Amino acid sequence: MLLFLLVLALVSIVILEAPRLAFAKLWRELAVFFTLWSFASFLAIAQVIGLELPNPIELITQLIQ
Amino acid sequence: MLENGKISPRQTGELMFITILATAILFVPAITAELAGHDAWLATLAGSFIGLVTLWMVTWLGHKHPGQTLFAYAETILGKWLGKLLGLAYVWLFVQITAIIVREFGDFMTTSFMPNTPLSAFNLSLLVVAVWAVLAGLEVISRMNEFLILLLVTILVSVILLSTPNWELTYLLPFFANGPLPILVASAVPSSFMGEIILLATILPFMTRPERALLAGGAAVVGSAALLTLAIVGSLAVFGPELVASFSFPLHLFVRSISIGQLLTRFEVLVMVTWVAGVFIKTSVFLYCASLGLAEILGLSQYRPVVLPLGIIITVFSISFFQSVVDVKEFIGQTFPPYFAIFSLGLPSLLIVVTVVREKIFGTTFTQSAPDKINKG
Amino acid sequence: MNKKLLCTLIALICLALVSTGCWDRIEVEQLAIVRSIAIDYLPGRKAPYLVTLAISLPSDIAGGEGGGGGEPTQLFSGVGATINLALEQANFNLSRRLFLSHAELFIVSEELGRHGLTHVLDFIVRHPQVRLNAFLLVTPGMAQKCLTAPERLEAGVTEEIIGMIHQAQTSPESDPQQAFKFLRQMASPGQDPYISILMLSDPLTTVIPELKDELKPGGQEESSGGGSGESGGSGGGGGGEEQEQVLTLVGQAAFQDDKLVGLMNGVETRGFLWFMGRTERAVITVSDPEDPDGIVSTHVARVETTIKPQIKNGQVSFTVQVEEEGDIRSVSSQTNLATTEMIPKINSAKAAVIKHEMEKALRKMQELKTDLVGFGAILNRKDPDMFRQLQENWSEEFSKLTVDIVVISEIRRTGQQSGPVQQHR
Repeated sequence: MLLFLLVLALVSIVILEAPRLAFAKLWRELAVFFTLWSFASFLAIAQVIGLELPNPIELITQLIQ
Repeated sequence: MLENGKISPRQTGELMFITILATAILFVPAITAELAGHDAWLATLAGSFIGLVTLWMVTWLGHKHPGQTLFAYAETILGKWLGKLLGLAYVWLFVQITAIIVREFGDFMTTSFMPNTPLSAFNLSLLVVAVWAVLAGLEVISRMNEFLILLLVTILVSVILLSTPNWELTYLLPFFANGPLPILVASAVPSSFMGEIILLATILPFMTRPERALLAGGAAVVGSAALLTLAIVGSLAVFGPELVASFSFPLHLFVRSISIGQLLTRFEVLVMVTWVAGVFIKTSVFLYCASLGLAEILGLSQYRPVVLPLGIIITVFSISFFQSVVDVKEFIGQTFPPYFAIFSLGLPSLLIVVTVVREKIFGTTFTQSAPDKINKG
Repeated sequence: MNKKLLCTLIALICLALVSTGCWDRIEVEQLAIVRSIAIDYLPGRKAPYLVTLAISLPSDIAGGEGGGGGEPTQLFSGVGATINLALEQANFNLSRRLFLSHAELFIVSEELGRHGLTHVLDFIVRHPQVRLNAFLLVTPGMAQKCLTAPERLEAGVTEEIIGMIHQAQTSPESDPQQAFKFLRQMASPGQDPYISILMLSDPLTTVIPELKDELKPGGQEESSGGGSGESGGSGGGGGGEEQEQVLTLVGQAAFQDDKLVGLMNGVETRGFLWFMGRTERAVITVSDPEDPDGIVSTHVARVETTIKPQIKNGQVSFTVQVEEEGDIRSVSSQTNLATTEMIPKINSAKAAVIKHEMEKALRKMQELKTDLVGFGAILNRKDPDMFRQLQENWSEEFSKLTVDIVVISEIRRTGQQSGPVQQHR
């Protein structure tokens, strides 16, 4: 259910942004958008299905100490 | 230009004021009281000094490279790739801080008001609004802030004044009981909040009169430090340093302890309103700077495409960064101050040094460099 | 245009999702509004905490005077190994969700106090609904009993007790405190906390046998006992043999950290309150300097206490100076007190009485080794290094402390008449 809502949200973001950029022929922007979007989607889906990813905070903490 | 809006120096100052104050007021009292005891409020004043140092560096750089944001002049000074790398580090910092702010917000709401509501509900709703605000642009955020600042300051000040019947000012004594060292150690935490004035480096070129940046930023740092100090003095006088240190959110309990007669009581909802409003502004400003920076580094013609994905990334980070509120407090108190000092003190001074060296030794002139040179990158 | 529609649609959906309310939403009609919480400790049991909740119905609060009938306050109890477990058990009997935001009163039993209040205090601070400006009271005997006492002037038992607290805050027999004040006293070094005592005492009809005989069953009510504070008056309601006990707020319990170590009666508490400089409205009686049988009652109008530490050759001592001003309220003899010779005599007699009261309270506190005044904290403010040396066993140091008490007492006015009541001879 949560996953479904998430996918819905992600898709709606694409619908909101991508056509606008494509019509304006802003290809560079479109590429950046899709790269970021897929990274975000990966993170979000990993979070929802409970995939363990390395935590940057822990890295920083170790680095500082 | 990525941003066509312009904001006045006063708006800039107000924006920075709320940005610093919004989360500081909730977390700084407990952490400084833990480290400095009676003298926690002095630690805040000491911390604001570091904020002023950062501010001076930011405005110096800003005036040296007029019309350029932090991300643009990083490339001018350090060269294309090194500059981009530095810019990316700042983008990462802003993203990370936004995630932490949102997490703090969610933790506070679940701890104090709605214990059964999942964290993600708060985080998500805050970010939806913040993304919306960022899409609308800097001018809209500033104007929104002009309205909210009235609400926020009025409520905070009046609530602190209303609590004076509970005050026992002897809890602030003795001054300097343990010497100046604990105060300096404790000032690291407020100074990392004050260091958020580094955001001005991104906003400065969009001011109608950039030459007023020092004044606006200084007013923001001093003003927020003053209000923060007042809040800490209040919580210390009501609870004493030992209790303040043991509370999760001293300000919240501080407000809850107010009862004048039997009528003037239960002000915490008002404080929740100000807190939500303040955090909304803070999140928006940070998200704005992160988006603008990323767009500038990648050479986009508008920052809009990166805002929504960044919003999602921040939402996820805000949930996955920390396991519990203990982690949050530990991170803010221990790791964050030195980490953030790299960005608020270390890197700006590096930029200044390189600028000076290049000017004096290699004879490069920066002041005349055209802004459009960067947009090719 | 189409896109705008889509945006609006998404926004609307988001709004609809958010505005239905959160997970924590609950309607007022489904809440059991807890007004006071009595906590007993039953030692030797697996579930020692007996928690009793006084719950008011919202409709009754709104109704104001109440009028018709029905109990305004309902009591629910539960036992458990912790307060939360006891609350859960009490919930089994409830048709509504417990709501603690309006709990204004925590009554703990002496037994619980002697066991230690850590758990109760932690509960008060940690719980998202409980407020730190709730009042704390200690009662000898069962705390639950206090909530079963009949309300007499107010709508419910909680209001009755809260009223007594507000009354007591301006009178010299006890100093009821909010939870956060107790907490900060407990937390600050060189100070021990205290809690006022609420108790059920026998009404005068049972204490004074003559009064009982004269009262016919179901008879007329009468009242007596104004300012003494020992017992608040008589209970007229019941009539007959079974006189209901009445609530009395007098005296205080002295704590060492979170543990109750001793009770101070009304006189000792007043002696203590002289140190705090809040004994306005106290009645002090001295004997008539001319006529030993006569008693002069004076009323305290203004008190100012200053406590100063003195350090001589590494020895700490304190000077307490009390400046007091008052009026003459009544005289039971025929002496004319309004003369320049008599007033100083009364002044010094009054000062002696005050000093005696204070010394008595100080002795009691030193016996209990509880520094309720906060002498240690005062020393800490004056000389932190000195205090740091003594901090380890401050309670021992306190019990041997020398405290000089200086009382300066003045009579300013003689009331509505200057001389004695005129009799013609």
